[in-house]
Amino acid sequence: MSSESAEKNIESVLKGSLVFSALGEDDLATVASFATGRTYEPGGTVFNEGDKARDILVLTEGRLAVQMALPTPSSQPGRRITVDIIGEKEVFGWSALVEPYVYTLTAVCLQKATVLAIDGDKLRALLQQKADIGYHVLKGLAKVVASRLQDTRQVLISERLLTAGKQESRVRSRASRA
Amino acid sequence: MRVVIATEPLEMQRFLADIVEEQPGAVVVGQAENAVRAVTAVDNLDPDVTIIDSNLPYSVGLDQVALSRASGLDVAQGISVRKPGARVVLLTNLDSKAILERTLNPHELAFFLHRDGDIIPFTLQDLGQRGIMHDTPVFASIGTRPRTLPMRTSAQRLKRIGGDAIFLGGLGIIGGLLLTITWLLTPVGVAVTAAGVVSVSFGLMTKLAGKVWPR
Repeated sequence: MSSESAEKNIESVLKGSLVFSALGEDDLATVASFATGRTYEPGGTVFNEGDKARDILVLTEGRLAVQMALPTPSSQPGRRITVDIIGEKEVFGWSALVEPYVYTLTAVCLQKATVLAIDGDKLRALLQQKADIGYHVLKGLAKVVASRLQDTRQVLISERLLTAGKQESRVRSRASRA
Repeated sequence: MRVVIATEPLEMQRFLADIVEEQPGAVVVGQAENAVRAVTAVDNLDPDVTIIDSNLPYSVGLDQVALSRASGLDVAQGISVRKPGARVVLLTNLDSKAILERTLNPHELAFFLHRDGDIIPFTLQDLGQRGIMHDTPVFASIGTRPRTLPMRTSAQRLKRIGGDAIFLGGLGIIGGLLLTITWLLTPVGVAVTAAGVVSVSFGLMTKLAGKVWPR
């Protein structure tokens, strides 16, 4: 594939994503020039919670899970819970655009995945220069963050129900022993 | 081999159980429809292999509460950490509606891994006998190819490319030899043609002379 058609391909992926869909052709081409493609195997980690957030990413192929680590006592093995499953053309790694530029979740590939990694520094500089596209991108980004918040809410409810269920069964077993 | 299956739709539990029990020596000892039951089943039954759908709900929900259905990976990772010897297969593409609409015949489906551009079929016996094939857990897809069709590996592809190259090369050699022989015999051909032309001309002239001078 020639570099021109590869760039057009990147632009079409960006156009299909929620965050960059409102951008015009010239701006899309500029953002596409900041992007590089990467491939990961199933089970591979795209980034870890706490890593410096250098890139904002768009999933072009595959599926991946974003997970958060639960604090556990040092004697017990660490536990992670999945907050959301990312599908094709979805944006993740939004921390690259928001201070303190540290990833808040871990991204693990469920299937073989290809992603577009957009350089966060360059994108932030572009958004500062051009306020109009900055508005559109941040509006899309706000939707991504809101969706992640909604998913986290569901996980929280699920975990609470789980904990309540465990406590209830413990109480019942104590009562039956007594 | 004792197997536990964890997926929410009941029909998918039955369907996966059919695929598993197609394999000699494999027995489904437990089935679970959510994360809590999957963990309990693995703790109580201590299976050799656990097959987990990546779209697994955390627990039994209330109708008015939307629960997360993304706990398959968490359960798989948790079992792998707590039971290092356990074999855990995470099904990453289990679209139950699509699979059930396509076929209900377990003969037509198989587990496979995508690795380096190759599709690698594997069975539960592979998982049990050869140990961890890729990672813990094993990330697997349910394939929709007939199991009897060979799936090509890199070596098989190279073999096929080699065979094609030999066949085309052979055709080239035969064609080249024919052209070379033709080229070598060109002077003889020209001489014979010239002799023929002279002979035909002589014959025509003789006939013409016979007509002009009949006596």
